[in-house]
Amino acid sequence: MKQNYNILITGVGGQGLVTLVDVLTKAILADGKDVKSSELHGLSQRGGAVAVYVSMSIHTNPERSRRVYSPLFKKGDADLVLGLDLLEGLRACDFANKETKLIINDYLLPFIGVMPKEEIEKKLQEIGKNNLYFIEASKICKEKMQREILATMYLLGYAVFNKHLDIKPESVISAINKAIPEKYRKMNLQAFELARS
Amino acid sequence: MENKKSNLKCEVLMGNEAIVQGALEAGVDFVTMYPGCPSAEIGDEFGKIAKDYGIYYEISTNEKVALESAVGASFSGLKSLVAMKNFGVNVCSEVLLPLLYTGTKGAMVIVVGDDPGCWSSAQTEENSRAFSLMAHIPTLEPADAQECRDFVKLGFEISEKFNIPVMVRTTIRVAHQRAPVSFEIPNHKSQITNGKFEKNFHQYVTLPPRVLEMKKELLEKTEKIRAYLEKSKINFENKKSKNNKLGIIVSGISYLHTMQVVEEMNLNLSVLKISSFYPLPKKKIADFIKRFKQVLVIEELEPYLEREIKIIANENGIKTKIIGKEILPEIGELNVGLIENAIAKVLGLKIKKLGNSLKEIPAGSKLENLKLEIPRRTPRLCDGCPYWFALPVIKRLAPENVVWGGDIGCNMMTGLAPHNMQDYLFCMGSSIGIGHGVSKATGKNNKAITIMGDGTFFHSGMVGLINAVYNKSNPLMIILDNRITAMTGHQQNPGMGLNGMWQSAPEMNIEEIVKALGVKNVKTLDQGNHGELEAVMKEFLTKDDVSVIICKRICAILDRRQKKN
Repeated sequence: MKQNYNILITGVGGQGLVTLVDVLTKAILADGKDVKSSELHGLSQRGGAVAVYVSMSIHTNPERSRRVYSPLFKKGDADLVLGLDLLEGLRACDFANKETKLIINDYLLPFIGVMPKEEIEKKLQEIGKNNLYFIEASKICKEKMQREILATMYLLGYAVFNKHLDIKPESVISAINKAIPEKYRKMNLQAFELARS
Repeated sequence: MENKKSNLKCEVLMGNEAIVQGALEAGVDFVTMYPGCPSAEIGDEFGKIAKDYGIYYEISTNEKVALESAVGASFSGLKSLVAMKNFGVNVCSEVLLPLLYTGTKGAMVIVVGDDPGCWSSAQTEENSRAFSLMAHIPTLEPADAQECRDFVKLGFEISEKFNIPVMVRTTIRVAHQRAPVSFEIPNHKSQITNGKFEKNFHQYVTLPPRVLEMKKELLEKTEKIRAYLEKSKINFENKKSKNNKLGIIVSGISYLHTMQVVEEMNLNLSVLKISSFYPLPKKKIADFIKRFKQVLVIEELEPYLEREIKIIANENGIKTKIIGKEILPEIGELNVGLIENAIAKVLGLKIKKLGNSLKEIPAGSKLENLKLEIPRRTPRLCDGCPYWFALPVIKRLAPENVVWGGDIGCNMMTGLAPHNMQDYLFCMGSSIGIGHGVSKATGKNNKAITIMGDGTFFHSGMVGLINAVYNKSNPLMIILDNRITAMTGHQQNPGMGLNGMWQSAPEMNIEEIVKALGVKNVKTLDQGNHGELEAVMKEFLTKDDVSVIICKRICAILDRRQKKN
């Protein structure tokens, strides 16, 4: 029986996925849950498609909870997809099932051979139906904070404040304080809080 | 004084961070490495913290030199850690093999990161465990971040106890895995100049006939270590079951995938995790396999463990059927799905393909249901990368009979669209070595133009260039000097004037080196200067001897970072 909550984060190298997974995994531990994640560095990061897997235990009570073993989960086993790019969000649907929540940044990093935006959105709608949320994270972060890269924290905030991710906001805040260098801490906290409203 | 309990902490660490933690707790003094995925972050971390602990940290010119440097430290009594990616072992194997004969004085752990699936590696899907067998190096395989910390500590203990280097072999899903890790706050401070080389001709000089004695000593030592590991709890049985139909033996990351499957499917199966690939706890394995009718060996890449287990079964007259690669792939990573299928197949269970999925479809994803093909997003040069300026000019001026020599690093992307300037790609530094061979073999039929980065030039490209000059051939060598080793996450190299700890260091001038090697046609220019590049390239293409153009401009990411700070 499935006892883990599986999160797939997809995007393009350079979008800040590594920082996001650092914050998210620390937040899950701060919440008292077990966690494992897997990420990629190097070649695949240079403008390539990047997928980060995070699995957390559902219960905090160690008696009731099984530990998370594998840092990877199966196709069809994602409970939540955080897509930092529309096309990469669509690519992540390989791991989705009909209950999977899809939270997708309304943002497209084009490349030669990319599909038209409308087609990607249409496909996402066919798959996601009522569980699909297009969020203008990059746009909002650019307008309000002049930094698109903070879209990661905004999307995380959206998932947490809308209860798609069972982590206490305080746990995320403590994780940001731990994971992000002082110089960038305040703006990351702000981007996370922006999603509260 | 803090009590021992308050020294304990639990935090989420990445596998590579946990390796650093383990080394700090073991009291490492001397750290060397050559950056490569998936082990680069080990060095990056030491680059930041080495000074605080009085540790010496260097990025060496290549993996061979990194290991040599550590051998010097070990013979001088210091504890050393060496880190590299899988291909690094090929480069340092020349030093590694005799090191097992001489043994170490100060303890030494060598961390090697393999990359099943080639997520961050070109070249080959190398399985470094082959070197464990060839070099007789004790090899520990962590599965999770906690074991990364624990096994590095244990590696230092074994090394200290038996005077032998110990390899800790990770894979990308271990090195780049984040998980809670319990650890102690280290409180030691190194003082590396306290090392003292005590001469020991008998032990450190590998001349025959003594070298054969050394081999005998190594083989004897290996048996002692095997006996030690027979009792070690790193080789353990999880979920001991009375079910005698099937037992499972796993190594490395496969342990985590397997346990996930066993738990989720509520299977009543015994799982033996083997963490010391070399030397193997033969008795523990024999005692395990004889309890079952069948044993499934789950390991990534080549079936090295499976073969050893078959030998152990044979040696002990055990009739248990050993299965593995008949039902598990030898190529690419293993994962929960593949292992679930394999176990189900052996047990004759029918698993519902994707229990949660929309419909019962064969490969079972929504996407395949919708018959949606998503275009591949290949890696590309970053926005503003100076290579964008130079590459089109070089391509336009190249003669029709050009043979493009590719190399490792960001310049690897010359092989992809829109550049398509690669006719072969091997390993660090080989663009020029192979280009020389092409030039010699083809004469006027082809023109070899080779492309290499600055880091690779220092690593091993220089040697190939010497060969081309010495043996009189005429490739045109382009060095794309972006002032840093960029691909692996921006590590310092000898051309930067900075060492591994970001302290100032002598700056190697590539042009002066090239000239000193005897190259007559050499020019350094700015990557953005199309006019000059065009003129120089036209001139050098008429030459009958080796030519080198150094296109110099700082990496765009590094440039932005420097301006921000």
